[in-house]
Amino acid sequence: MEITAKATQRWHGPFHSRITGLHQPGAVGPMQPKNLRLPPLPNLPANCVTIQIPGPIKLSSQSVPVIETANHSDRAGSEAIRAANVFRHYQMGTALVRAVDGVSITIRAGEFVALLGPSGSGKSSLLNLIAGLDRPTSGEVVVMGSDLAALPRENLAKYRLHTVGMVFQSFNLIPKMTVLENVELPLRFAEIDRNQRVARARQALERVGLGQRLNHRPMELSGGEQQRVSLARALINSPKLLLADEPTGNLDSRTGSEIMGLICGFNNSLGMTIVMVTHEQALAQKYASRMIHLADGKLVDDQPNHPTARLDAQWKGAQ
Amino acid sequence: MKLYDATELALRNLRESLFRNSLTTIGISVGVASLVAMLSLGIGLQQLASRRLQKAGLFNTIVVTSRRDGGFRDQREEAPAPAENVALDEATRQKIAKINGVAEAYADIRFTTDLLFNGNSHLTTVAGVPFSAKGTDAFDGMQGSFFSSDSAPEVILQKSFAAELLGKNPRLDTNENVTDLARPLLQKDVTIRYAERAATPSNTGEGSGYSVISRQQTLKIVGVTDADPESIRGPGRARVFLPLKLAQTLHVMQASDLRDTALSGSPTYPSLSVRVNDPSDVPAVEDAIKKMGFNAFSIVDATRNMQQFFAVLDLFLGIFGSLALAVASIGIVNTLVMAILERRREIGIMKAIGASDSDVRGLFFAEAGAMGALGGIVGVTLGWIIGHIINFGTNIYLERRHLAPAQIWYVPLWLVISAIAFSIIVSLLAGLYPAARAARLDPVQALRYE
Repeated sequence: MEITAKATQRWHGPFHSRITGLHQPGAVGPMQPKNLRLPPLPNLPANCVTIQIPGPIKLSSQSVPVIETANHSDRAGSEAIRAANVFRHYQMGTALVRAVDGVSITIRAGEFVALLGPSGSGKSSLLNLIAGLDRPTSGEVVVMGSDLAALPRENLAKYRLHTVGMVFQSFNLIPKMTVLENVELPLRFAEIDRNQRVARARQALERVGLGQRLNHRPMELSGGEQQRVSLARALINSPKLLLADEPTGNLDSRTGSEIMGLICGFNNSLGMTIVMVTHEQALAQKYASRMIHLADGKLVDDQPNHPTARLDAQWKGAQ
Repeated sequence: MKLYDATELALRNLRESLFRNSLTTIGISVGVASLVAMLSLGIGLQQLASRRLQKAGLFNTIVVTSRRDGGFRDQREEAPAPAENVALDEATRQKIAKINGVAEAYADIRFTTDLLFNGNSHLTTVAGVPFSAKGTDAFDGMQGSFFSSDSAPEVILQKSFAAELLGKNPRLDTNENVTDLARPLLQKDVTIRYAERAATPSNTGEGSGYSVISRQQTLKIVGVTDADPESIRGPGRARVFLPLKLAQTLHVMQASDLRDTALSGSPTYPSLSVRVNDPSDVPAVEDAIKKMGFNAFSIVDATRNMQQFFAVLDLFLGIFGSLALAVASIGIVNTLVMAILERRREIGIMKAIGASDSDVRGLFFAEAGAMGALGGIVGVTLGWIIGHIINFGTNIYLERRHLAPAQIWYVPLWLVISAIAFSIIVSLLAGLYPAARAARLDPVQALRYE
């Protein structure tokens, strides 16, 4: 079985503890691929089975210590997201809602982070802060070297356009536009020429396994298909960061794992950093390489995780 | 976002809630239509007025009088002393005819005479008409023909005088048709009786005397004109017209003759008409004539007031017309604000996937602009149609009263273009607030909104 360098790197990626600032932003990490526009992936089956586990790691032992021994200094990805003492308070009538209440985390490039917590724990608020949809009341959110709180509105929009791709629980496709138009919409904002737009949108749709029904409206598609469209739209500008807010929340488990397989694939083959909000512990355990728990806007737990999906894959491979 | 993309998305959005946007667009159309209707009425009336003057050749005619007569004295400009005594004689006429831009200068000949027709005598004013008037439409709705030559013994009658000759009361029978009046008169003879001033040979060499001889001349009626006595070329009213050369050769005794003889001894003209090649030459020629020591008066002076009146009229009509458009622009604001509420989520999505404030603003601007452009085009068409209907109605009314149909409606191209442009500008202004509101929409809240 072929082992890709990126897969190796990701696998040995650091699992950051709660202590932030351990790795300086300037730390040299493996190069991110400059051009993320790769040829379309083959239709990925669920659970990342194409990603094979490199030899030295004894997966058969089912033990996690592997991670502890991972060499941070040369295998660590560069810092992708750094949130330092972030607060986000809302005024709801007379009540002050502390949606994010002093959170500090650092996420490295190539990580697959699951943000867990009950509803109202502030995980979505934190995701919105990282997405540049919202600004913190105080503290700083630095993504790919730029401080989002300090960015002017226009630049923040550019950041959302080029650096981040977003996927939502309710897909958030524009109902009156066709699949193709929905996917190429970000390219309109990026002022890409019409001809190029269609070609790129088709390419992105093929990558998520949706080569047909391009002229259908979102409502004519199944939930899984809609989420694929929304994934294609998130990919279209080749962002470095994929933010997913309960991406499988509206899907049945089978379709959900198909979607998760795709997201996993982006993480592995494109080297995209992924932050996924979910309230399903099992889902996080299966796919994420790191689990961050939030409660009442505070960070309560931050653990590396050994995604069982990969074990499944290994197990399947061993069979 | 590129303008083309914004427009495309905007048109798609407009189609999406077709009924509401159509209503708004119709509102704009009605506003534009009322603006176009009002302004083209003003322009049409102005054109109607100036066309009458233009036809009469008044825009390129200057009337010159001697300062000695005090006729049309310009109060503002006192005549230079040495020129005070210049006589308006033949030598002066030739000098004026040589001024740059002057097409011709001719003496105005006008006299009151006794005219015999069918044994009845009618007292009337006769005026000489230069042969150059043949080409212009000086005689509105004329039956018959113009003079055959500059000195032919022929006359053209004004309609009301023709009626008088036929024994009708011109005041009661104003609706009389020119054709009906002309039929019994054309090619008939009339005789005018007048006093000729004949020069007598001078024995002393000092001045010249003249004798007055009573004469008559038979003339053939060649035409009957519908023209207003006032609008006929040349100063003052007249109801009978002779060829100018013929009128000159008659040497009719003029009122100024006696005094002229006393002052200079040579015959002078009471006034000259100077026709210039181009109406824009009028001020320059007028100045030149004034410098020669004469009074000069042109209709351009008189129309200045008229133009002022029409400018004010157009302004008021424009303001009233714009009121409807102002109301329509409130409709645009309303529609777009509704669209924001409806499309909150869509705006949130667009912002989440990278639309900037200016992209969203541009999209709403494009929608407002598209409604404005569409409303403008439909409105101009509507206004044009309304104008034609009103014009049609007016003409039916005029015809019933046996009046000549008139084009009181005129939509020039510049009005079409500027009405559409104005509609777009007003719509964009109306779009300012909704677009700004949409652009500032908080994406987090917009996405939470279901």
